[in-house]
Amino acid sequence: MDALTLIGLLTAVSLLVSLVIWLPLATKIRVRKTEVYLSGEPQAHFSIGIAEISWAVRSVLERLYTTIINYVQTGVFNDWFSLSLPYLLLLLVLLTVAIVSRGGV
Amino acid sequence: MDLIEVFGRVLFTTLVYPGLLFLTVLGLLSQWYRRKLVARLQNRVGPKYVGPIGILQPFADLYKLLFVKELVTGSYSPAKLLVYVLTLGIAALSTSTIFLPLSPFSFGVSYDILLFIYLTLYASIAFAIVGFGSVSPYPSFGGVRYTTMMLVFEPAVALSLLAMVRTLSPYSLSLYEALGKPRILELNQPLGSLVQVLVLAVAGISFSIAVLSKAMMKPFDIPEAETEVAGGYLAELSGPALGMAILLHEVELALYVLVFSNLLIPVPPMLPDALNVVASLVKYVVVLTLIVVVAYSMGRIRLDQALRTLFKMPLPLSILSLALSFLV
Repeated sequence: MDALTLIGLLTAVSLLVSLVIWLPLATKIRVRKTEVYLSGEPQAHFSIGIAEISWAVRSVLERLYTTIINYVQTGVFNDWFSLSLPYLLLLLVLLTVAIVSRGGV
Repeated sequence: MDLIEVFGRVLFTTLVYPGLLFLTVLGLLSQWYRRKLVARLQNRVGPKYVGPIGILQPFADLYKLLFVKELVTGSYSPAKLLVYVLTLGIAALSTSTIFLPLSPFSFGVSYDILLFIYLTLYASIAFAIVGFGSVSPYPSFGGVRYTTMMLVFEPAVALSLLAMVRTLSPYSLSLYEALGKPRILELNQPLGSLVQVLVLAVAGISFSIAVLSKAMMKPFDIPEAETEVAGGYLAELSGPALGMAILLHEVELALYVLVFSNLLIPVPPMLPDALNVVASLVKYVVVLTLIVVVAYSMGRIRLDQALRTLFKMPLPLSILSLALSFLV
C-alpha cells in the first residue's frame, strides 16, 4: 500500500469514527444559550456586531484606505487615468509576451 | 494486504484496541492516578467516593458531563460544532494507534512516524479552535497562549520523536518497528551503543519538557490558568463540551506517555505477546509517575518565561538529538 492511499484511508477513518462518536452524542445534547461570562460586565461592551466589520477593515488598513481615497477620488479623470496607466501598460506587455510565446496570433 | 483488509484492521484498532476504548480507559485511569498522586503530594486525600479508593471517579465525572449535564453556551458559539471539533481530535488520536504494536491487528509501514505526527497534531489544533471558538475574551486568551506555545513545542515534539525512532529503526523510520522490534546496539559496538543511549537521553529530556507544555501541565498550564484567565480555553465549556475536552486531554497525554515510555526504554520483543503489553504498561506507569512528580513540584510560569524555556531547552535539544541520531 502506498503512502498517499494510507494517508487518505487514515484521514477517512478519523472522520468516520468522529462522526460515529459525535452523532449519538449530538442528538442527546441539551443546549442552553446564555450571556458570555465576563466577570459581571455586560456582553455589549465586548462584542462587535457583524455590521461593524467595515470599521474593523478600515481600522486595520486605514493608511492604505486614506491614501487610495485621497489619490483616486479627486474628481479629475486624468488622475484616475495616470493611476491606471501602469496597469494598462503591464497588461499590454503580458499580452505581447503571450502572443509572441504562442508564435503569432 | 488489500484495501478492505487494511480498512478492517484500521477500524478495529481505532475503535477498540488500542484505540478509542483502550485509550479512554487508560486515560481516565491515569487521570485518577495523577489526581491521587498529586493529592498525596499536597497532603490531601484525592478522589475517594466512587469505586474502591475512588478509582471510578473520572468515569463518573465523564458520564455525568456527557449525558446528564446540559451544555450552557454563549449566544454566538456553535456549541455542537465545538463538541465535534473535540471529537475529531479524539478520533484522530485513536486512529494513530494503528502503529502501536500492542494488538495483532496493528501494522507499520516505512516512514509511518510522519503519519503518526500528522494524526496526533490534530489534538493541538482542536484545543486552539476551542479557544478561538468563543466570543468571550478568556477562552480567546487561552487559545492565543496555546497557539503561541504551539509554535515552539510542536517542532520540539516532532523532532525528538523522529530522533528516537531514527535511532531505534534507522532504515525504515517506522514507529511500529521502533516500538515492536527496536534495533538495540550490543556492547560489541561500544561507540554506537553509547551514541544510541545519548540520543535517547537527549531526545527524552526534550520530549518530556515539550509534552508538559503540549498537555498544559505545570509549569506550562498558562492556557488554562484559573486565577488569571478564569480557566482559559475551558472557561466557556460545560456539560458534553467540557467532558470531551477533558477526555481529549487525557487521551492525548496517555498516548504520548505510552509512546514515549516505550521509545525511551526499548526492550527486545518477548514471548508470549501478552508479556510485551504488560511491560509497556509498567514502563507507562513509571514514566507517568516521574512526569507528574516533576511537573507538580513546580509552579506556573508566565508566557514569556515559558517561551524562553522552550526556546532554550527542548527545541535545541531536539535538533541536537536528531543530528546525533545520524551517527548511530
